[in-house]
Amino acid sequence: MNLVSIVKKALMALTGLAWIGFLVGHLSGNFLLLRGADAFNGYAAFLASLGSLLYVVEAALILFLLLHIYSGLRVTLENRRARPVRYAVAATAGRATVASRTMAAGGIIIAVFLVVHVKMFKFTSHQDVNNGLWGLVVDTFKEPAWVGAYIIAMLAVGMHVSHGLASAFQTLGLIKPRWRESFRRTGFAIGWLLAAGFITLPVWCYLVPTN
Amino acid sequence: MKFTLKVWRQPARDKPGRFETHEVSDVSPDTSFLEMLDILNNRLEGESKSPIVFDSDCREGICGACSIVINGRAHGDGEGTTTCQLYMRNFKDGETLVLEPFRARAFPVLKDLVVDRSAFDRIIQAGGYVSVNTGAPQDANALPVPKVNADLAMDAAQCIGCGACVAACKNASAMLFVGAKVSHLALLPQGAVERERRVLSMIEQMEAEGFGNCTNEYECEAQCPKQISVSNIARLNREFYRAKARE
Amino acid sequence: MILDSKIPDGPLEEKWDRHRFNLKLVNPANKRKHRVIVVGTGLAGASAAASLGELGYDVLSFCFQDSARRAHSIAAQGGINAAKNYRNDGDSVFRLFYDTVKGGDYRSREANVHRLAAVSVNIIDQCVAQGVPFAREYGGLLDNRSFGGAQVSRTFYARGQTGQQLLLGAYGALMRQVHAKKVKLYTRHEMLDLVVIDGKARGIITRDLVTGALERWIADAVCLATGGYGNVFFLSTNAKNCNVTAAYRAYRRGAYFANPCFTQIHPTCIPVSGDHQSKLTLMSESLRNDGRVWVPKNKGDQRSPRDVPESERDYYLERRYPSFGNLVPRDVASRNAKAQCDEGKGVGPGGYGVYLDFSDAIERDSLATIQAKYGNLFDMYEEITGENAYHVPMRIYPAVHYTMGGLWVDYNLMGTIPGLFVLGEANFSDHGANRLGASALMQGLADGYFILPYTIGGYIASQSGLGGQTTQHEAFAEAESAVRERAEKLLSVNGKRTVDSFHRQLGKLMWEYCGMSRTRGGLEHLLKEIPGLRAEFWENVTVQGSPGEFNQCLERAGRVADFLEFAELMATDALSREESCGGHFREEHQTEDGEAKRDDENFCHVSAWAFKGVGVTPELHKEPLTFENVKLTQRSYK
Repeated sequence: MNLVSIVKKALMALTGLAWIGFLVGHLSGNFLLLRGADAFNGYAAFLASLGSLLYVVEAALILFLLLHIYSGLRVTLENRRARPVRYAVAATAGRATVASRTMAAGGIIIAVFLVVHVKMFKFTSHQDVNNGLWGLVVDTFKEPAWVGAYIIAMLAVGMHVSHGLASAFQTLGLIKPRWRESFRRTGFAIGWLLAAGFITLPVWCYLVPTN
Repeated sequence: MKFTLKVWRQPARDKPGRFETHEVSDVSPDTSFLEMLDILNNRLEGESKSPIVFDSDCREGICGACSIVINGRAHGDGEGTTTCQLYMRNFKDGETLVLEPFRARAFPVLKDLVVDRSAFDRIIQAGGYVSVNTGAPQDANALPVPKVNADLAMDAAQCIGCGACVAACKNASAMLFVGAKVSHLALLPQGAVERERRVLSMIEQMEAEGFGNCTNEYECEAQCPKQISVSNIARLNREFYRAKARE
Repeated sequence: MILDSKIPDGPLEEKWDRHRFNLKLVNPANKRKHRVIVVGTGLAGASAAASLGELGYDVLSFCFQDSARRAHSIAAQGGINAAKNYRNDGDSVFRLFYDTVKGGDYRSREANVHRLAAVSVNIIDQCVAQGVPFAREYGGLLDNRSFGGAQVSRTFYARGQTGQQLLLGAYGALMRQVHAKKVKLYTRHEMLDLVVIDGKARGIITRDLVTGALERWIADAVCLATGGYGNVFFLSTNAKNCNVTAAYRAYRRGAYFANPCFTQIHPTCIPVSGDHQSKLTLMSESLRNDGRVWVPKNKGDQRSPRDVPESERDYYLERRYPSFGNLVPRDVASRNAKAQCDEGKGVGPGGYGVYLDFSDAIERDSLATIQAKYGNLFDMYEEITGENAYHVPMRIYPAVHYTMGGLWVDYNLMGTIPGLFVLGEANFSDHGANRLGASALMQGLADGYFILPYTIGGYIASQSGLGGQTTQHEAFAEAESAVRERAEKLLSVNGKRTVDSFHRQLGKLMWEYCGMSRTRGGLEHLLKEIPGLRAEFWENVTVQGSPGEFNQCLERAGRVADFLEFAELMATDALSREESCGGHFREEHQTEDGEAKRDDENFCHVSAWAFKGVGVTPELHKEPLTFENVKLTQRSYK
């Protein structure tokens, strides 16, 4: 399909922003882990009770994710094609960041993570586990390898969002010159706060509670 | 001063190229970068070797002809300068300098360090102007323009069309070039009349030329000799959505 | 041949209107059947090609740059004059006309200059309509400044990039016509010869600079907007590739060359720093509005400028010209700088420089004000010299900047070869012996937008078309093979010296003997030197590569070969003009206090030269200049 670059980018920006919104909600919900099994399982039960509304949201998230991946892949492949011969000396003027240069790689890590994550906590039965879903989560993160894997994935998320958030606003044309620096900083901060928040949980699970 | 130059040599379009190493010595610090190449070329000519082909004309940073990537940076690492405005005193004595042409699918190499930037002309042809014929327009002062807008338009209009933005962008995107022209004209009442048509057709031509997509790294702004702001890309995006919404 | 300038009858103010009415018109439906070649895409060329395209002609546009947007008009900084009188300070078309004639030291045509002044107001309207972002005031209206010694504020500007913005406007108009398929644009194509059939200009031969292919182009008329020849001096403020070839080839084909010795030396350039230098950089002369020019009173004063006390400084312009002070016209300012340096009072390397000092202005108006006005110029100065001019005075020295001379044209901008039109700096018509600041942009656009589109119609309507002629005509074959043979000859010399070394040597000779001031002895010496240098060039130059490839060495060689012939023409003209006027200063002809002394009795004419062969003295034709509306006086800026 022939899509104008700005359309692809806008698609990426909008779906990315939606996902960042979701992450904020997801993280605040997940902090209920710290309040113990009852609080967290109650939250899970509440979400389940939403019924079809939950399905709508989930379907939307999946659709957004697929669009985000699709436009991301298109953009990345086209960008590679736009410079068939690379420079012998790679240098920047300092504006490029690790984050901006690893959006595609980070995206792939996040995509793989999402599959594993959903399989692990959404499609694994916790009927027989002590303390239900809370117990499943805590048990999982008693395994250092999983903690490590999650930390890596969350660093990828932090990196991805730290460039992506402000970038999305630029793509949507919402940045005025004098706000640019604050947007950049805010995006950076939100990205890494999300990552830090999400990393707190497996680490806490590993260190603190017993199931 | 003394320098080692590793220069991209390519006999013609679609022919393979390679790096060639040359030493230049006894360079006065007041020599400009291109004069240093002139000195080398004169030596090569004297030795019956073919001189290095590179674009340059005004040599005062305004025509946009010069276009060399020096050590990985378009127009070298000076801030807000073109290649012709670099002076050897800004380099380290004994330094090795790697000289490459602007690299982009839309800018094919014609020879050595010279690339074909006619894609930019075609983008402008698609709509980078106000469609008025020569004749008798109204008096120049008939239409007041807020100074703020006139100044912003001038900021964008300073673009010299050198293509450093494309060369600097990891995606070889031309959004800064297009954004500058679209902004310049959209900010003025004279240009606003056909702003929708303009942005859509310029973007369409930009895509057809094979430039990459903008990923908001802003290397273009940092390496632009006229320091054109990426706010113009944000404005280009806005103009595009606006035009699409009204289409 | 008697030069007929074809100046229309009638009162000065009505000549152009009457003439436009009297010009024949081409039927609109027929215009597309008439092809026009426009060479050059600077202000004059781009505006002409665009306007002709809009009118419906089949236009072919050529430039040697990689894009039409890069022509050297782009480098003009200061501004463009127009008699709008937006300032209510007493400006008028007649005043602009008067200032231009006087500034040109009474060596231009009254009728041409008046027309230029009259259309100047249309140019601003046109450019604003194109979206040229001129400077504005808070009320939203256009800002003006006083420039280059004018006593009214009639200069419109776009920061320090007026030429760029005007050119981009014209380039946009041209690109629009290219998109509409009314103009076909050929970039990286250099015109190497003019084709004349039955005495009429009928086409050109170009070289595709990428492939080396020679191509023939036929048309009803050929317009040259190929700029000036300042690079004959090697060091000038012109772009590296500016050259005289197109104009000189037309001259060799029979077009007369007028007043080639009238070259303008711009007073505010950055001094030469060494032998490596490839070009000189001009700084806008708007700097003279606030900077004060001085040299130490004592010869050979080596102190840092800040250590020279006020009492030991000579603000020589303010001293000699109390009413104009630092704002005297370019030729006067330049010559005075040279005189100071010749006396041994120059500053900087080699003593070739004078100070332009902003400390008083900074004290008066604050550093911020000066930064806002000239920040980019100060930055540029620092980039080039490594000195901060907010702390130490700038050093400036005059440099070749513009050439008033050019191919002779009549009132219709047509040369002595019918069908050959010449526009902008390439022609000679409007600036006389000295051009005023901010007038070059005005002339280029006047010619291209508002004059040529009318007059070329008059010519084409009076002709019967191409009459079945094609590029197979023997004149094309002859011209093409001459171009080919010349390239082959250049490539086959296989000598020891590079093209640049010849060019540099020629430039030094010209600057020394035909530069800011000239003497009979010097010019005679020059006329002996040039043929020798030219002969050595053809015996000992080295040109690498082959004709059928992208070959910048060959490009330069061809241009320098033409400069080596053209230089002789310039010196011949300078020698024959036994007077001082404007940019042409003959030391034999000066007043007691060293000012230029015109000889209106014997030299109130245009010298138009006809080619008679290489190394043969060209034939002089005189077009007398008559002044009915302006009284000839000695220019006084005291």
